[in-house]
Amino acid sequence: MTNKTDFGFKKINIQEKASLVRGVFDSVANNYDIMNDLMSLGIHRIWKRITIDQAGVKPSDRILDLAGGTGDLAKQFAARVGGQGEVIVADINHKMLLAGREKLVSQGRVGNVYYVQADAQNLAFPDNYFDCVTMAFGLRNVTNKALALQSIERVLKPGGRLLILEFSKLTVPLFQKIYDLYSFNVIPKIGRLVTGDEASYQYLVESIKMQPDQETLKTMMLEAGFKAVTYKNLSGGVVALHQGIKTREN
Amino acid sequence: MQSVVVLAMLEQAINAYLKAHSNYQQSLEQLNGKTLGLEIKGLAFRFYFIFTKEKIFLQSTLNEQPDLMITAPPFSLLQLFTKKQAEAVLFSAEVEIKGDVILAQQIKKLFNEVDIDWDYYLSLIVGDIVANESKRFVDNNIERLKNFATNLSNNIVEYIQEEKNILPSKYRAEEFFKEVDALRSETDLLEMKIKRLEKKHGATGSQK
Repeated sequence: MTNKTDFGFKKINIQEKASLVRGVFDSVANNYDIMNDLMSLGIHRIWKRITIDQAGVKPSDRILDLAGGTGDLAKQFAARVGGQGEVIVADINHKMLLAGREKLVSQGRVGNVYYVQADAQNLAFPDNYFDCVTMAFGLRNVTNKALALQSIERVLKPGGRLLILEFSKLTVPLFQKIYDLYSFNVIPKIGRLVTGDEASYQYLVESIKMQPDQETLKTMMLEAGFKAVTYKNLSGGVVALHQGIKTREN
Repeated sequence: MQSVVVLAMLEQAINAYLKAHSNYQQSLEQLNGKTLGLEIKGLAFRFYFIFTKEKIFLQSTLNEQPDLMITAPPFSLLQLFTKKQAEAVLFSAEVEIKGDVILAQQIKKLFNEVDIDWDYYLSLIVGDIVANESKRFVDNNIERLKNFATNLSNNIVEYIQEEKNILPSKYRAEEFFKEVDALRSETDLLEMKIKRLEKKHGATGSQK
């Protein structure tokens, strides 16, 4: 088995990836939300709204928002599950968690939201614990994606649903050149202007290119034990929303 | 995707109204934690309301049966939201209710008082579904029509050529035209030979 993995277009030792990704998100945490708006022209809000809609959560559900970062999904989930439910925002990056907690607390979203620094590959939660797990724009930063999917499957309740919102492969090849031109020439420049950090956004666009395509991720989810795995392309495949159901009990 | 956007718009309109009218707080507290599903009959589209103490949320998916499920045609659904005397509609034959009937009355009472443009939002939802269905119908049927036209054309040609023998096949026609060309060439040659012979004999005759 190879001990190399990708970090954007670079090949690095597996052990190095977590700390390099941490460096990226430490750098961007404070400007994460504004950069999301600028880079996606605000469309990420619609993608997230669709994710919330498809999650189908109900009052009193227990939700895990992995790579929850600045809490965009958690905020919506917390309002829906109410006081009887709970939302756990988990992120491997401490700075992102702090930024998320500060934002949600300042918006009065307290009481049913908890923050846990956690590695998606080794989730420290009981088996069959969550009604729903979401991961928005986080999977491509995970070193061992298969391990993460198995770990998520373990903590979901039977009948529980996993939703992965992630950059994917465009369905209209004609737009690929325009998209690449925008990704590689504009996004790092916006990053430099807003955060003073071009390298982190260069990593971001490279990591998007290295992300498994729709069918590959679907296969990975099936291999991790999920059933009824489907995906929806959003904005012509710029991102895809994958869903799977856990059917067995651990 | 568009229905998600329309549901978000409707959700915002309802909550903006409730926020501006504090007298609904008690009704919301009564409904806290309850879920309502609405299915538009004939369009097979469902959406759900989640009631919480602070807001009402709308979504197109719910991971369990709602506390109350109402199935109704679009017009009856609109009447449920807008008519003050909606009991008649609620218990009419074309409206199906599954679940807590008292909850149905509580929700109806709340929605009848929420003075927003229900017609507009429901028409957007219904319009979007109809538009999507129509597009799918048209796409499917264009493909089906294309296949039908191709099959029909092949079948007609086969019928005329093979079954009825009215028209020759392309191969037979080409063979026939080749034969005609060969015959024409031979005829031309023959004509030239005859002319040459006539000339020869004509010339000999005049010498006599």
